[in-house]
Amino acid sequence: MLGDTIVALASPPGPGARAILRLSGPAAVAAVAGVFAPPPGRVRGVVDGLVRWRDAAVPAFAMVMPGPGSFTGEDVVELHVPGSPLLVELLLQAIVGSEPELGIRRALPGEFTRRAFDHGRLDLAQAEGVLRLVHAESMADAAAGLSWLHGGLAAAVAALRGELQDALATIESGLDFTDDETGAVHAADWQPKLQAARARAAALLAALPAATSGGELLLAGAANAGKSALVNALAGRTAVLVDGTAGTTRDLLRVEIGDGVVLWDAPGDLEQPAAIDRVALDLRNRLGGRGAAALLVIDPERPHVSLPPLPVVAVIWTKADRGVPAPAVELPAVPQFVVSATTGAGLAPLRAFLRDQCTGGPVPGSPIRACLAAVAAALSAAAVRMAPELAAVDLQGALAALDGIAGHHSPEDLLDRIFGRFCLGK
Amino acid sequence: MRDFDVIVVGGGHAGVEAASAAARMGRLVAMVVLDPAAIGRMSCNPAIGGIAKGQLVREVDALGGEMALVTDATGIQFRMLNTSKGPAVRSPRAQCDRAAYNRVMAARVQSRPGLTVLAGEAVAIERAGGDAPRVAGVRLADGTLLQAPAVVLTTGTFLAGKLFAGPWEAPGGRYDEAPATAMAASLRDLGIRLGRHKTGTPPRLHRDSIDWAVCQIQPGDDPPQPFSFRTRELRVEQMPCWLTRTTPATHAIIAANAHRSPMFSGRIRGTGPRYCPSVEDKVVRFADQDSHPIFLEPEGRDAIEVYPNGISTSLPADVQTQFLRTIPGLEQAEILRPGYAVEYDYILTDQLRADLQVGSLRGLFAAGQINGTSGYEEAAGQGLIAGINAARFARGEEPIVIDRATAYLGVMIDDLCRVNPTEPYRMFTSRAEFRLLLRSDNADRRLHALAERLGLIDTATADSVRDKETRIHGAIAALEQQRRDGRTLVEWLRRPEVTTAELLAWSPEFANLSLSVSELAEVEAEIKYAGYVQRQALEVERLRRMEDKRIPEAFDYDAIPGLCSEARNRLAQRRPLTLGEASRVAGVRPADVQLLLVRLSAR
Repeated sequence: MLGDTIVALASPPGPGARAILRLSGPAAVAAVAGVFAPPPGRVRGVVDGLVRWRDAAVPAFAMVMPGPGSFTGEDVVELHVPGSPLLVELLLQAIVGSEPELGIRRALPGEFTRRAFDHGRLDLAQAEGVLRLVHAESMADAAAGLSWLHGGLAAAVAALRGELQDALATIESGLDFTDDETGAVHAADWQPKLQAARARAAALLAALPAATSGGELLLAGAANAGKSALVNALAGRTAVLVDGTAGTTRDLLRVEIGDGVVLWDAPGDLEQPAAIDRVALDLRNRLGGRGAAALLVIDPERPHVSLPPLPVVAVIWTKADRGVPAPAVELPAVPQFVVSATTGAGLAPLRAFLRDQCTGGPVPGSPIRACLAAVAAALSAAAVRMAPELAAVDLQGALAALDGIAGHHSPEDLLDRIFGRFCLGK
Repeated sequence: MRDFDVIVVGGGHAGVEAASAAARMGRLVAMVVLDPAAIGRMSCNPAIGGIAKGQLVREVDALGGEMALVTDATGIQFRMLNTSKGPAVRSPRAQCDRAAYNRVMAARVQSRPGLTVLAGEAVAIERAGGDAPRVAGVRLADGTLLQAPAVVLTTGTFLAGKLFAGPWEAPGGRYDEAPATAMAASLRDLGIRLGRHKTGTPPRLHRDSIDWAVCQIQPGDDPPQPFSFRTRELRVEQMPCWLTRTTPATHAIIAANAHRSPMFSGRIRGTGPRYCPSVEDKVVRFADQDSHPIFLEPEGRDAIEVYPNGISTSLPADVQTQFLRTIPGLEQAEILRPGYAVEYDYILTDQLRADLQVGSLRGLFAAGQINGTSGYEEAAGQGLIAGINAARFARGEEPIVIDRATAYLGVMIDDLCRVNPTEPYRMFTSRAEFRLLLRSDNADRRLHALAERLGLIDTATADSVRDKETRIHGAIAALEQQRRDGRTLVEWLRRPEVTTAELLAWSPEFANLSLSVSELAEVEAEIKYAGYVQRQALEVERLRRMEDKRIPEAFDYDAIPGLCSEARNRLAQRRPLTLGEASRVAGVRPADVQLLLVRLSAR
């Protein structure tokens, strides 16, 4: 939800010399004033001061970057403090808990970059640049990420789109007007433009990093259906707080359970959600799209089924140890698993399924790579078409694929997938 | 209390289709026109069809409309355009006898059972109902109130219309015809937002003052193909059109006088169409070109007027005379009526729904140029859909929505609902992403079932479409069986350089099927496009998942928690008919669509 203020640790977790807490949103400056003295003003600059830790005062400094000239386009404050995980956690709790009316919450993965995109500070290509820079394992990778961040990729994509539109416009001018009006349009008029676009698409594709595995999965289902217990059982550790009270999970949590499998534990559907639950559910509905697909988790004792905003790839019946048979409810035609987090029954086949699902997922690697691959395929098809109305279909397909990279018209799910791959607080 | 089921305001190409369709569906219909003699009048060039427009006319015909039949009855030249290109982009076009078209159309309207023509000026839409306002009827200038639950507005260029030629300007909807000024004010009072568009016409020339010998002849097709699927035989002695061109001398005169055109002096504020620019626009904006084509179109078999298509203008009359002198063949041309520009109000189309109802006022429908479009064919198509839906609304029946994969009609209406056109909207084949499916030759196959269900065509007509379908499938099956040099004839036809003409020569069996020209085109399209059509079928299915999901009229957006307030307000105001339409309303986010989907699926 734009309009609220988010906070997260922006430096690597664990002990270190320095830790950075980053806040973004309208209440960022006010929220810092609650834990840091002297209270900073809404003026760009660095303020030296102290944060309070129990009874002691710890030296720290705050960097204030008022919007819209900041990374996210909103007011951003970075609090630089000694790198103690305990101090960081206490500060985060103080910031989130102290002033309920400020509406401050912990940031979701990639949310800072998401906001930068939403405020027009970054386009999708630049966002991909941030991702590449952050994950760079070589200087060349980092340099490419930096160049994309500065619009290099966007410029290349814009040039490619221009060439595609040029070729398509030439074809269409021959189809939508008679030869008397425009003069005859021959394949020789558009084929060279098409070849140029093909060469550019191929060059761009070659410059992109190799595909990585993707396809993270969202756990969907009613509150207290046993999603968090399932995550813990699969992960083999207490990754998520579990409680018998419905609606314990209010955040989206990303849990790596090994073998390349990543699950998102999300709040479940509640019958009578409180205000805070509604916010959490709204967030889930909007941001759950970061997963490539969803697993529908159902407690056979309370078979409440509501479909998540993602394709469902499997249905998981939980609490098998209680011996309640799966009731007859209408479900998507997908594989079903019956498991027990308590006894571990049925977990092995589920793990194998998840491994196949995540590593061979539907959107492997960079979304931009997938777009460009679609462009290249469409252009290869167009290049062998003699009939202009058929070549036009391929070109339209290529342009539609490119639209996924463009700022304004990119489909929301693609965006969510990209931003979901960011780690917390970059 | 109702005097009529449906009242249609206006009798142009949109009005006649709207009123005829509603009457054909058994409703009691009134058509209110300023001048009954002007019903079906062609205010621009005397031609029907053209690329993409021809597809629209065939679709109107498939749904039992008037335009194609009257074109066949009054045409003086018939051509199939783009025959050198693929079957998807071939379009019929015909020159008509302007006076005959007007006369025949007016007579058909006047004699249609259930349809009453009333001469008068409609000055206001009367409404009833508080929170859910609905149409009560139409007020005429003499004070009469005609009551009806559904009204279709088809005012063309008459809504606050104003004519321009050089320094001259006058209120008017068409040459020598008064505008509809009071109705524009009434719509504003109802809170309907209006925009302003501009269009123009060229001077009309005297036939005998043109030197035809220096012009290039453009004959009609031999044999001519009829426009209507229902015309069995077209017996017509065709007249040619002629082609000439502007010269550098023409451009010099126009450039020197451009400042005297109200287009450039700033007196016309409305936006004109880029695809149909005035000659002064062409000269000023495309200064690097030294010649533009002019098509000399006869206005009728015995008419003395000739329509020079390509030089619409609002320059002063003396400049029009002057520049004509520099055009080969027109040196001595006598101007019967100078060209002029017309500026008029239209309804900003983000207020329309997919059934062509104005969302904010139940029972008010709009079609044609009042919806920001241009062209007879676009107007007829909208008129037909608005007429059908007004007829259904009057009986409390569900509206009909035609999607983008079914017809150009659907593409046009969906485009209009998505955005306010920045220039008069004209149909192009490139607007249709499923162009390969939407051919002029298969409009009847695409729409006959719907037409039959709505009572727009009789069983015999629908049966003949089904027979045609059987013949086409039979022919394709036969081609699959026959071989030549080891390949089936279907495989041969898939090659770009092979057409049905070769197949007819190679295979006496195929020739013996005696398929019509249009059936042959269909066989060719089905085979050449097969691979693509299969691929597009997936996209069509995806589209229909959203477009087939209907939102009930009384849907309560307040009852959906989580919907953002902007989306809630806009949806309640616009009342979209389908989930697809809702997803395109500005301010509605994908998450809102998901919430709607969940709610609609739960029902």
